Amino acid sequence: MRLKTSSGAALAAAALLATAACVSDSTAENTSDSALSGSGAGEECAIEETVKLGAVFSLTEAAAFAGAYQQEGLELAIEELNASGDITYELILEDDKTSVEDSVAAFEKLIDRDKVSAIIGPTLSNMAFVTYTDSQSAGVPTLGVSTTAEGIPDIGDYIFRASLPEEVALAASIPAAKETLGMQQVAVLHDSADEFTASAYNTISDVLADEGIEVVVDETFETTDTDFSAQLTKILDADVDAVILSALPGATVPLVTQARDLGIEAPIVGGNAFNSPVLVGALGDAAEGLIVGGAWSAAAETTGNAEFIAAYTEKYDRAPDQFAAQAYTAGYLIDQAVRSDCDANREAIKDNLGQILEYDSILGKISLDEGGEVTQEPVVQIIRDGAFTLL
Amino acid sequence: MLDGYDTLITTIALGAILAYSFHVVLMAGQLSLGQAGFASLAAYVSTLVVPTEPIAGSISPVIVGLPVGALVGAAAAFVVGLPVLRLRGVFLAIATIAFGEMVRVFMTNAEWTNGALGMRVEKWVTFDFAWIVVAALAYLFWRLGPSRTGRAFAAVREDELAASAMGVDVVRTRMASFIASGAIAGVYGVMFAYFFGRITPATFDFGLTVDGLVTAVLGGYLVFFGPVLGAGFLTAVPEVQTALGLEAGWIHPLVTGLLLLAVILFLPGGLSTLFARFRPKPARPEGDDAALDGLAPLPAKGEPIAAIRGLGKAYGAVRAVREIDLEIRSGDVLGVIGPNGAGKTTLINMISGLEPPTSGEGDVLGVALGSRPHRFAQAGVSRTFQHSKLFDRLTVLDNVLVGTHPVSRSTYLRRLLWLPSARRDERRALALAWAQLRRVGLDDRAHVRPGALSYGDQRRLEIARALASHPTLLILDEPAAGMNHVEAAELADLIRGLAEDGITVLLIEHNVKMVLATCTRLVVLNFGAVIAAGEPREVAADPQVIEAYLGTEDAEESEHV
Amino acid sequence: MLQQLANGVFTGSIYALFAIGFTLVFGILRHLNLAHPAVFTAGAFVGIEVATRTAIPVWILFPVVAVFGALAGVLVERIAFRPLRGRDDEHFAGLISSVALGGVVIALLQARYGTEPQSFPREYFPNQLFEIAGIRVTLTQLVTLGLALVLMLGLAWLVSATSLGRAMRAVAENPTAAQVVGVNVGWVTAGTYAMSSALGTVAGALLALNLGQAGRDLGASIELVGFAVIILGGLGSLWGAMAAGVILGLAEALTITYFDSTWKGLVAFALLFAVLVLRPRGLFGHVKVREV
Repeated sequence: MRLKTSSGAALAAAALLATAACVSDSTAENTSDSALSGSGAGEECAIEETVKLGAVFSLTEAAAFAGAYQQEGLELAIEELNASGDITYELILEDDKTSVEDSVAAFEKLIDRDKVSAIIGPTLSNMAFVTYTDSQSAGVPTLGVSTTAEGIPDIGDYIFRASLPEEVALAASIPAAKETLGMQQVAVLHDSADEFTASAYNTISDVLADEGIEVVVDETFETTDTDFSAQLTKILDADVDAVILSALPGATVPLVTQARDLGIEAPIVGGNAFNSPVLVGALGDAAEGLIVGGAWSAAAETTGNAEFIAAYTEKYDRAPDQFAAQAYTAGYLIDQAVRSDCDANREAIKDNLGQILEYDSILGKISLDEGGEVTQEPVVQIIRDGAFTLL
Repeated sequence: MLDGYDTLITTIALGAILAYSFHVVLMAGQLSLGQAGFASLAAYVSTLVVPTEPIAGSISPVIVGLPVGALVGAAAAFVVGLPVLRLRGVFLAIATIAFGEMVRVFMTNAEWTNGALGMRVEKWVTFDFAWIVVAALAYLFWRLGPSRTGRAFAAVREDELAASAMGVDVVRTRMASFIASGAIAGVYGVMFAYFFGRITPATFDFGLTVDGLVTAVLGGYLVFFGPVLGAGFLTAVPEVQTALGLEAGWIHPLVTGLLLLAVILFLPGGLSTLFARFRPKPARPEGDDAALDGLAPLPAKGEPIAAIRGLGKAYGAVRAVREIDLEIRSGDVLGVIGPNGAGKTTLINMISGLEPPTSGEGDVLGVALGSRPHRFAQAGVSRTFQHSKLFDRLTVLDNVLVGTHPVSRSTYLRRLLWLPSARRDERRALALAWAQLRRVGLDDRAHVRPGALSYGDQRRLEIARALASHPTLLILDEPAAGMNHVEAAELADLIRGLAEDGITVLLIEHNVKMVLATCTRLVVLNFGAVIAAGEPREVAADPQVIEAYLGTEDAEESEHV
Repeated sequence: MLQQLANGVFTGSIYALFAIGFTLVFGILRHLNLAHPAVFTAGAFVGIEVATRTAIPVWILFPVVAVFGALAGVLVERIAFRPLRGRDDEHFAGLISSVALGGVVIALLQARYGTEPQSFPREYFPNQLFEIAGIRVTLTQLVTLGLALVLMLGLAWLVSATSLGRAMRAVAENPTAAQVVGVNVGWVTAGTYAMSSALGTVAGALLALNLGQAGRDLGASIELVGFAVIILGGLGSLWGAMAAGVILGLAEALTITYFDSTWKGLVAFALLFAVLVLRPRGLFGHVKVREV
């Protein structure tokens, strides 16, 4: 008897396995909700129902240094938008704990349970590669604010980013540095264990080759390293014109300090991740002469920048960085897309995000194309007298 | 049907699979933490073999990846296991962590893995697929628990020496758990890659190891469904917090950490202890003595059991045992006495294989001295220990069941298929165990843990466990120590009864009254050498013997020499 | 070349400082305290906060941090280890409870200090440079090396010459026997944790002073190397940890100099793996005869 029931169970399990092993084709069902489209257009647009926006940032663990700024920047934007117009946004914020699993779960929650109109985030490109395929297949417009890795907008037509790709930033800062410093021979030092910095390293190599600059020292370290003196001593011995650095903010401060302590006088050139006021504070004199390429500068006289910095500093009691500025801008970009047709349905936001042309933001004039890629002027800054200055 | 919860539910499944790869080593008491490395190797290798299109139109291509991943993980575990399995505890843990980190660094720097940029694959794993894998694993572990193999795992976990003395091949058991862990970790790696559609070397870092370990211990590694409970808990806690409206940020890890701490501190054995009390107790078999037929007959009286010449053991400059010649014949009840430190325990450790001799030669039941201990046990040597080495987290009955290891057949694979012969073999082992429990008078305490027994009962349990292997030669190391007069007298009766049944007994004992009452021959050791041997009465009267005792120890109680 | 050797020694002394706290608890109590990295990180943050608020000189700052560390250590023992004493699963459970407590500590640090790295006030410690025989060293590096030596000597003296040290060694040998001969095992345990964590927090603050800042992953970044150091040195061996820290620092520096920094990450673990397989008791550990 026992044997019979168990073989029955085995059969059932086998049948189940067969069905589960099948690949299901799920298609995006997109229902449009008429309550989410309103009357009027542009500035006068009024939408009855609250527009739900989702955001996924890394608020804890490794990438929290960026996620916290993004949260604050975006919340500030939403607050301002709610105070100014006839559209009410509700921001549903999720923490991906800097983990792939949690970011996928967070996207699923926002897409299927909260049924948001659009998603902003996540913090890291690593998670974006995993989650964007989900928002693409569900048909939810998604706007990245710090996902600078190559190939992200190619995931699909619902995927956008308001974050200047690293290759563009570097393509601006390296030639600018070459011009200012007349550099011929450089050392490149990069974090080989992190996706963002490894990707930037590839770009750096390409740009340097294009510019005809010779790389005489090429060294790596790992994200969690705290001591770089051995690599730096090699650089010191090579006597280079500049050091090009691809590192996360956490490693930057000790790296630059140790370089100066060892007697490396050469200027240091870095990418997006250096664009933080904290850096200047922590580095002190060692920060002098650091050249940073990025998407935003506190020193830039773009529309609303001074007001943004003032409002942010007042609200959060600290100065904003590039992560905050980009997230802040993302709030306005979404609002812009909603207002063009006065429609906060997913389809409408997707269509209109791709139409944004030369929008005047704190990052300067910014455009998104239908492919999802951002176009804006990169800024190149140098740290002089303890402050970021445009180069 | 579960719209919006797919990922969450699959995350539980993946967490459980990862936790099972820790479960299987923890079950065998091995703190092995190389799973991240195995998972990484398996995941990367699987990307090379998994087809990019569904098989036969609709079957998920991961079907190909799973066996490949399991194989890669198992092979890697075997290769790593060869050198590291000599290590124990924290040393094993850190060596395996080092292996995991080496894999991570290697993957970060290898060309074909695309380094830190990672690899992208199709998302071929759906949540039902993941749960079927979990169900399969749960089934494997459910059937493992009460099998001979499962008991061997438990015995090795509780006490490796005692396990090997009960005939369990400790090296093989540890390696088996290690390889199984590698295979499951490999499956996890493949499932992860094809559920999330992306892997980077950093996916499989030390953090993953900690997660897996935490999940496995939290759920409980003594019960087969522990990993599922652990994974469910760890996934549900943040979700509940969100549902309760706790703001994202530092509060979440704080609450999770506090809850985890509470569970570990207040629920020894993890979450599964909440459910364990509902487990049925195996009923006492009826008419069981019939099952005892078919055991190999004991050798006839007078046949040689052991022949040893010139046996010696030196620890550096200290010679604990020197030049001992010893012959044991079937039917003997051989007493070995001598002052503390005379080398008695060292002698029987060599006879039972726990320590290799440094000089001399000989064999016991055909097994050459110096062989590994389980060989002796399988040949029919069984023993108890001076300081009892019971399996603390097994019941009294399960302790004795471990003893049946040398006289039973492996049942695990047959249990998986529900073959009736496996059931028969398990019933026979149970009958054997119950018979021994009855013999020492512990049958009414079969379902408690040894810790709940009195000292004297623990010694009797050790004897029952040793008897369960149907030994030819039974070695008792001070069985009466700590017993009162009545208990000691009962023990003497028991030993005489065993001798009548044809079991050859080697007895180390300080209680001379008992030795004289039970032994047919007596050997006296002092400073590692034999100073007298022969008929008990004669030996006891030997002036040299009296001198050895009285010269070194002051008068103890009268019944002790 | 000389510069690289000096680099190795300085890096190694940080490794060693982190590891001696770890190895002290393991050597005496057989606990692997996985909350140690979190306490180490907390030491750095507390050091920075105290320095920022009070501007007390550095030679008072470290004793203050040590006192905080000692208290934290006693708490860690009370919360994560003492309740488990005598339980069958004491060792596995201790790993998990200390991981959980470490997570709680890190969450609390985020609650108090936010997500950003904290830094010492800019002019808190003079960043003086010396050039000795062509080697450039900073004052912080010298202080680190000096303090590491002083702490090691102090600890060695404490363990070998004081009554607390004798009690600790007795507990390490056999806790039950120590109890029998009148050693207050509870006190010794608490004292060991206090010392271990005091060392850990001072090491954390020192590393932060070296780096100019401290993030919440400060301890995690050094944890695995810390494992390597305590094993290489022989678990429980204080001088072994010191020597192994320096050997590891040197090995890494030399790998970068003569091979490729890409493989630096492999050095510590390959060395560790090799030592464990070839000489499990570590380079400086003692053989322990175990009775059957």
